[in-house]
Amino acid sequence: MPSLVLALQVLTRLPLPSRPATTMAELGRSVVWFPLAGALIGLMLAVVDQAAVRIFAPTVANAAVVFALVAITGAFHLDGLIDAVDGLTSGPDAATRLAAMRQRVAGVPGALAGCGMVFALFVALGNLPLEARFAGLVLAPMCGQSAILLGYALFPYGRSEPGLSLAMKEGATPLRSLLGLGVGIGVAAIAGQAAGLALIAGALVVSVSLGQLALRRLPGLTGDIHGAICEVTQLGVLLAAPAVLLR
Amino acid sequence: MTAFLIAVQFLTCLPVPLRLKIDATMMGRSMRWFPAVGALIGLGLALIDAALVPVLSPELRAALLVGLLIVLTGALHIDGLMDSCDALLAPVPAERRLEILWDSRVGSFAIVGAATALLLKYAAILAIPSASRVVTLVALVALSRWSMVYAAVRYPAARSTGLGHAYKAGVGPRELAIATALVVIAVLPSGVAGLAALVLAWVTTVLLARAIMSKIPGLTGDTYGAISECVEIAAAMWLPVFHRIIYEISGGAIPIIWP
Repeated sequence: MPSLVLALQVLTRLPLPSRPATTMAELGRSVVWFPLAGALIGLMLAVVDQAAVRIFAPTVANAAVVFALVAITGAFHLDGLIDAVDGLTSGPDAATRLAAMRQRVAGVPGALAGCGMVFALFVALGNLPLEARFAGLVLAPMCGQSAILLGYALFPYGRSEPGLSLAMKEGATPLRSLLGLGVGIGVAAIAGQAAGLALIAGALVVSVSLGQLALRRLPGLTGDIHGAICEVTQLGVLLAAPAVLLR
Repeated sequence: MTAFLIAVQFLTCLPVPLRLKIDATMMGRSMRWFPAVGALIGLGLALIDAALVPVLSPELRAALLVGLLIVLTGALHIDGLMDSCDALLAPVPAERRLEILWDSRVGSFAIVGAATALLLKYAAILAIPSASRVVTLVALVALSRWSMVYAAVRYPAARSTGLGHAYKAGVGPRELAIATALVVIAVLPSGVAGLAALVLAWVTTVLLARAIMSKIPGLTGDTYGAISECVEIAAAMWLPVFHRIIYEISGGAIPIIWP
C-alpha cells in the first residue's frame, strides 16, 4: 500500500522513506487512506498518552498529548483552521475570502480560533476518563480525517489553480471514497463497537453540515476549509467520547 | 555590577538605574549573569506564588505565574518562540525563512506554537509539588536563561546585525564558564534532580540548536528566545519527575530539597 505512506507524508511530519518522483496525482489519490492514516495518528497519540499518564501528573499528560498531536501533524490542519477562519470572516465577496485564506499573516479571528482550539483540545482531554482514552484518542483523528475524505467527495472545490487540494479533489472518486470511509467505519467498529459507529456517524453528519455552512460564503471548499472541518470534527468526537463510549 | 544590571535590564521589564551607553562588548559580557537573573526571577515568582496560596486555587496560581513570566520578561522569549515557529516550522522555501524570522507579523505556526507552549507551561507549573516549588521555579528559570548563553557561545550567528548578534559579538567561553558555574549553584538546591535537569537543559539546547542550524545558517536572537522557552518547559515538566524518581530509588534517603 504505497499510497498509505503517501497519506502519512501529507498528513504528518514523520520521517518516512520518500520516493523521489511522486506526482501530484499520486498524492491526490492517497486521500483514500486518510481515515486509516488518521487512525494511525490516533494510535500514536494513544501510545504517547499511555506513557505520559504513567510519567507525569494528569494535566501535564493532557498537555503533552496536545503537543504530540501538533508535533506529529506539524499543525497541518490547525494551520488550515486559522486560515479558514480568517478567510470566512473577511471580505464582502468570495474572491476576497479566498485571497484572505492564502495570506501567511494571521488575523485576530484566526489567532483566536487557533488558541481556542489548542485550549479546547486540552480541556476535552481533561474530560476523557482513563477507560475511554484509548478508543477516544484513536477515533478522534480518524473521524477528523474521514470528514476530509467525505468532504472532498461531496463538495465542489473552490479554487481553479493546480495544487495539492485540487489533486485531492480529483483523487476522491466515489469508489475510493466508499473504500476509504468503509475502512474508517471498520476501524470505528473495532475500536468502539456500536459507540464507535455512533461517533463516526455523528462526526460525518457534523462535518457535512459544516461544509454546507462554508458553501454559503464560498463557491466551493478549499484545503484550508477541509482542514478546519477536520479540526472541529476531531474536537467534537473527543468531547462526545466520554458520554458515548461509557454509556 | 554594571554587567549584572545590563542583564537585569535586558531580561526583565524592571526599572534599572543605568545611565550609560551600552556597547556590544558590555552586552555580551552581561550574559555571564543570565542564570543569576533567571534564578532571581524564579525566586520572585515563587514568593508571589507562596504569598497567594491562601487566596488563589492552584490552577489560578499556575496561570498567574505563566502570565507573570510573560509580563516580567516583556514577552521577550515567547516573541522569539513565535517568530521562530513561523520561520522554521512553516512549509516555506529555505530562502524565505530568515526574512520571515525578521517579520514582526504572526502566522499560523506562531499562534499554534505560543498556545501549545503556554499550555504546557501552565500544566507543568501546576504539577510542581508544593514542597519543591521554590527550588524548582528557581532552577527552571535559571536553566532557561543559561541555555541562551550556551547557544550564543557555541553556535554561529545567522546575521551580522540585530540584538542577537550584538550579544553574540561580546560573549565568549569565559562568560559561558561563569554562567555555567552560576546555573550549577542555582540548581544545587534541587539536588541530584537539579543536576539531571541541567543535563536535560543542555541536551535540549544542543538538539534544538542543531535542528535550527539545519534550516538557517546560524542562530539569531529570536532562536535564543525559542530555545530558552523550550528549556524552561522541559525543565518544568521533568524536574518534578526527576525528584520523584530519585526519591523512590533512594527509598526516601535523599530528600527532595538538598542539602
